[in-house]
Amino acid sequence: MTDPLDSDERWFAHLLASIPAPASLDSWTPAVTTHPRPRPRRRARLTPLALALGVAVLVGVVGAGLGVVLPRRGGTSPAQTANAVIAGMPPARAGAAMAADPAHHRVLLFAGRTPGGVLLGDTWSWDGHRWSREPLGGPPVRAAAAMAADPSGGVVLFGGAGVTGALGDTWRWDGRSWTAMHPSAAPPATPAPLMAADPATRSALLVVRDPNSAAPVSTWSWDGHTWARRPTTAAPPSCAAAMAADPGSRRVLLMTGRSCPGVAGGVTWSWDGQAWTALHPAASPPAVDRPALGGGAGRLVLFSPEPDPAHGCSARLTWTWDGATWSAHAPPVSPPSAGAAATDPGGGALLVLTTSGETWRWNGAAWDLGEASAPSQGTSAPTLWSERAPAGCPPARTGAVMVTDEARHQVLLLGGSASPLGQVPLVPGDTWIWDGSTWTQLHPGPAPPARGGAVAAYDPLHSVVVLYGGVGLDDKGAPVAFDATWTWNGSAWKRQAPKTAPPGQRLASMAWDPGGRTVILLTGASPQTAQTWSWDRAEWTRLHPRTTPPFGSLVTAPDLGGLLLASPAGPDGQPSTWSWAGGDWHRLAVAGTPATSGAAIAYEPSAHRVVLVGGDCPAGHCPTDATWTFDGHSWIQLHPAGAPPPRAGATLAADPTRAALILFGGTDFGGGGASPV
Amino acid sequence: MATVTVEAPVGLTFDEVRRLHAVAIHRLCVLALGHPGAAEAATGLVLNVAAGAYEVDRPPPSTALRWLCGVACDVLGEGPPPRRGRRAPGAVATGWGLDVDAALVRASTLGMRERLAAGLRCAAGLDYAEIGEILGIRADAARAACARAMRRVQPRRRRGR
Repeated sequence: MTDPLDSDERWFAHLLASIPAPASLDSWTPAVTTHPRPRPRRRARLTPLALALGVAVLVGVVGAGLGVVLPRRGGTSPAQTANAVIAGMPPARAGAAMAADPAHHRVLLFAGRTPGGVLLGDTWSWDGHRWSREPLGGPPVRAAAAMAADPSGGVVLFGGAGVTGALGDTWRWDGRSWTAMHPSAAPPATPAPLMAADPATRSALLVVRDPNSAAPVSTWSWDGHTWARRPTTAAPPSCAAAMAADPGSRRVLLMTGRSCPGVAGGVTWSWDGQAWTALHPAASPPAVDRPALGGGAGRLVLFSPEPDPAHGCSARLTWTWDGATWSAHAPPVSPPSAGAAATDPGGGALLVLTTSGETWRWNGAAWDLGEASAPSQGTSAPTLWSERAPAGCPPARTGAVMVTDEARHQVLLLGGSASPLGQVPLVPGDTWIWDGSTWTQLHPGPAPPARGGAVAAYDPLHSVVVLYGGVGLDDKGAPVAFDATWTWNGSAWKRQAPKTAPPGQRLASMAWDPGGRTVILLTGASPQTAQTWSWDRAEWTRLHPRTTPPFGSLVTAPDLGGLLLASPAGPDGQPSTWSWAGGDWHRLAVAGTPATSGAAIAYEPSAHRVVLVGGDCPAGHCPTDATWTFDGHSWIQLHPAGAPPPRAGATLAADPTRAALILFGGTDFGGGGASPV
Repeated sequence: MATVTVEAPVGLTFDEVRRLHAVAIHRLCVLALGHPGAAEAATGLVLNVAAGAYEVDRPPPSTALRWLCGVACDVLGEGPPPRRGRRAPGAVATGWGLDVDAALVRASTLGMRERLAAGLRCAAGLDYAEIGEILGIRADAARAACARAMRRVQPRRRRGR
């Protein structure tokens, strides 16, 4: 910049720099329909007629064609600029309020809190196919507001947690805008009220914690004009977690949360329009604090965001209420988290907006992503992650080794650490295989001892998996870097006895070289200590390439040149991509190599690309959830729907039974609750 | 064995431009609109517009930020200032600190041209000539707009320096 900032500008620049970037910037994906660029301004020498024509073109063609209201030159205030109806997807948030608006055949979403902690005050509507942001203006920013269909049409909103604390205001949405209501009576301000449409009385039912009442909560109803307190002899406890109308019985059901002392499962309460009754069903969902509850496909549905290991690996249960008891379902694919929920008036499905901003629908039998068709940038095929819930479940681990056994159409998993930091305790030397639908533990007899950070590659020439190195414990319990080589033939492990072997090092990477038809091993953390070795059935041979790359992840990419290396740091400190050809390493002039270490990498044969997932940032202990692909020319970051949570030390391998990749394990270094993942 | 095609990268991909400069565009939108939710949504709209225009315009990396700022200003537009001393409807308690809130409230009394000029200057670090080119005004007019904005957004104790 030729004009340096003066002191006032520097002060303001520092002030602006303190504004946190919203999480939606990281997860931004292009809209399904890309908006054309408005006409750029020229120097202000337009005649009034030309200006009028320009405004007409801008607003009439661009605005009307796309449903986007663009600001008009010389006639729009900043507020009007903000008053644009924008098609897209709501940014990620927690504590949003969502309710069906049957009068207008839409679902309304309001406010919440971004992952960065910023309170929102935006309104979105779902028309059965997509989200549209409604004009700004209305209730102040807040989270955990209560919202339900208004008996006089539209939606009524109450309370929540605002900037100054608990709120007690009432607002009404008429399908186009918000109006502040001033009822003659109002419930007390409360930070986490619950509201649901009450089919029995055709009103909106509200439950709030009431410090002025002897009961833990008080019950109110909204008739479209004012609030009325409903006297009750019994009342749910103050740990109420979710409330919704049951389409089957036309009653309102309330579920208690985890903060209820001495109650293991969630307790179900029923409101018949006059009184609360505690039910005692034969089965109940576990008590969770943030379930998604609402009507879907004619039944009341509860989605529990917490995995239930009893139903399989990472199984998240969906519960349905039949009027007498709860039934658990473990669909193969579930939302990664819960969030605001409401019944879609269009199709009757339960709509859930997860905290990561994904829209999921429950159609009575399965979950599907409502807007998963947004194309990922740089690729023609939509990319989607989905969390599987197989019956078998290897223990959580990081630094495991996973490799595709092409001869037997399986994925082999071994080793790793149960510690979030990849240290002791190590996972016992177990051997697992993935057959395309579930994990099965094998007991093949002598097996490699427990280790983390081992490397493996499939040798198609001899139809064996070659395993090398890793860090384990010696006889005295001290960490030691192994230098032993094992092979797996599909039924048994065999320890090889080569005449020479690469020195045991903590960092190693190994993959099959289709050009040289050998397994290539790269060890050493720096170019000064790095060594390149090849394995040919029974012997190791040290190679002496003219160029030695920095440490990275090796991957076999037959369609992209053979053996590739993605390194988070090159000789110049920049991330770099290398290929192995002709007995030497070649640095490729490609852009955008990810700078993450400890990422999971694999080749996706069906898409002819390398996929790299997660990894740790250069500063350490800040894992990412980024998904990158390399097509032979450049690295591109995708923004696939349903991406797994941030992690490093995960393993990735091609599923030989389908056109998919399998991701397993990893660690969030203890920052995400369940760790390793 | 065929090796990977070795090609020098031609410019930046739009995703790289986005990762490099989206934060500056978000700050520009915050200053222009004064509302966190509106700024976040507007930033997304700017990126959508820019994603469609990038393949056509293909700005070189050295001018990618200036180009993206131009797209942002085309989207945000300019309008008359709200009534002096009146808090713009878009300005809300942001949760980003009292200093930021106070500056945004003060900035809401500026015209959109001054707000954009200040944002282009302090959020994107552009020269006055570049700002003038984007806003369709001369460089000295851009400098004057920035100066007016700086006088307005300063806390009272800093004014008059």
